[in-house]
Amino acid sequence: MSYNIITAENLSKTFKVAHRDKSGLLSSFKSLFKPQIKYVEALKNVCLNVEAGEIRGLIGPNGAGKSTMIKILSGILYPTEGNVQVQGYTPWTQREELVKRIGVVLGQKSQLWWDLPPIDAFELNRKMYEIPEKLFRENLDFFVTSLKIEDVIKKQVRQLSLGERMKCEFVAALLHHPPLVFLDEPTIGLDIVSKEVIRTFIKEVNRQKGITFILTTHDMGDIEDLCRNVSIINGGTIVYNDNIEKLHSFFSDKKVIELRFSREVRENDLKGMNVRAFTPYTAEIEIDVSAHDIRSEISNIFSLLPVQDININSISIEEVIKQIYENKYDGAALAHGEVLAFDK
Amino acid sequence: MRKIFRLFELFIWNSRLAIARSMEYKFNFILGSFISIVFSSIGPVLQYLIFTQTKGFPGWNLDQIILFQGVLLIVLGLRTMFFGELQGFVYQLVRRGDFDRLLLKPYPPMGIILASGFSMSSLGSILGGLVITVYSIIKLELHVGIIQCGLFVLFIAAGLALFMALDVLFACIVIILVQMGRLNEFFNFIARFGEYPLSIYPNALRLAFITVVPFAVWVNIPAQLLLGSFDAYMLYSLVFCFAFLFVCLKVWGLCLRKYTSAGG
Repeated sequence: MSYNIITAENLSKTFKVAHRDKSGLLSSFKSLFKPQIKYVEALKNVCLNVEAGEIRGLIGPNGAGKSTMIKILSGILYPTEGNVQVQGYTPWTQREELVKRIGVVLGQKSQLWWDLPPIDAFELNRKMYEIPEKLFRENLDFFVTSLKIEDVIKKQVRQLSLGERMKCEFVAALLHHPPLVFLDEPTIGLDIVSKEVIRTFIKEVNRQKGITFILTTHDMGDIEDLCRNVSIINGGTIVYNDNIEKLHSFFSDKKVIELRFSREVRENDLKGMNVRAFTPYTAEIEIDVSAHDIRSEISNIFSLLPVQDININSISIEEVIKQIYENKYDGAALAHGEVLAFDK
Repeated sequence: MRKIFRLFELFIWNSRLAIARSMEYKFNFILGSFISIVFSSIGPVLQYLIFTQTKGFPGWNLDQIILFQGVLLIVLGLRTMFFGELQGFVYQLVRRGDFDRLLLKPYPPMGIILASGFSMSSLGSILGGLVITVYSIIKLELHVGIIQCGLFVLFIAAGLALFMALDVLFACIVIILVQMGRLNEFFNFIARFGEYPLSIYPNALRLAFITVVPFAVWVNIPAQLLLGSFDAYMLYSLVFCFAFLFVCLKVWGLCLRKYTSAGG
């Protein structure tokens, strides 16, 4: 039976930040004696439920509140208001108990020791998390074999490539068999092959060991490949919280036609069409198939323009998310199943 | 109690890793130890020059001052060995937002910080201090019994607890203010008051160094114990040391709530 591994209700976090309106020495001198304080609401009444066994994507533009959310859920930060239960624990008051049951991979911060081989950091984790020897050996063998890093774990960390180091970060975060793992940009800076290995590994661990993952990333490939559900956070509030397939369906009645011309055309020649992008030799036209017959629209294009090549695409998920990030429509309405007009 | 035992285990592990790291860079380790011995020897030589060229320190003769210097080297060496890397470690952790990593471990973060400060660089200072202390004990024909030895170790431990309290206080300030570049210099400067015999200070300061800021436990009291004198005021210092550490740890708990991490 599934249950909520994370429940957050009306979660808010306000930071007190010192800021300066002007740059320069005089301004910094003034701020020394009379600092200007600004209150930044990083999270505003956020509610979030995550089922055990999910791989949930938590995405949003920079500064949206994703990291603050993860830091509160993992007990690093105290919230200003709200209730949170993670595996039955209140993170900020029961942090030491909770962290035994979570793992965290921070793509831009390492938990390995720069001058020592990863195997030493794994041994330290064994001590810290009091992992029984048998479980430690089993998990280590499983992860090391899955990621093919038998030799890598014996080299000094500073001699490892980013991809190798990231694989070791995963092992360090999973050795104590946590039921919940937070992944903060785990594929940042990785090449395509390494990304693929990491994604396959996450899917495998989720399937075989039933571990729940909360994934924060800017790489839509990660989201599309791994997550069934996605929560989009923007301006400190959750603006979408549903199935990723539903995001695809919002613009299923829109098509984007990419055209390449055999000779130069003028923008005026495309008059009356919904043009998204234009150069003298290429154009992108959007068609609403619920209002127009696509065959007649395409035949019209062929009769009016010197078309050399044509591609008909649906609107990408990246485009949909970009629209939400740019506040071009209300994501909360999306969560209620409302279909909204695509805005250029 | 179990928590303290686990932290001690962690300290041992961290120390082993620190030694392993030192061994990765063998030449650096050997050169560092050599430099440490050279620097350590400067203190006693300087004190010898001051003592022979001036009126010296009231109540202390030259051999006793050399013993005082020996104890000072041991204490400073132990401080560097146990907490040497600590201030820089805390400062870097908080400034870069890496303090988050500590909060993700199933330990009190201050426990991890205190268990992570081990440094091998002061081995020379400790060895030098031991040699000078033993030499002085022989030269002064002192009879050091088991009780004296026990009290000596107890006060050295209290001194380390006081250093620990100051480092906790340092960490509190760093957590709140984040950027305080020369704060460690200020703390180290304050701590230097404990490196001289109490007899050179006016009465008010002398009282303060025995009670509210019991710097006397670092060198003065252990050296007095080796010289065979024991006074009730020493026990006050002992109590104040641990009380000061307790208060600092409570303040730390409050400061932790104010931690804001770094953007990411």
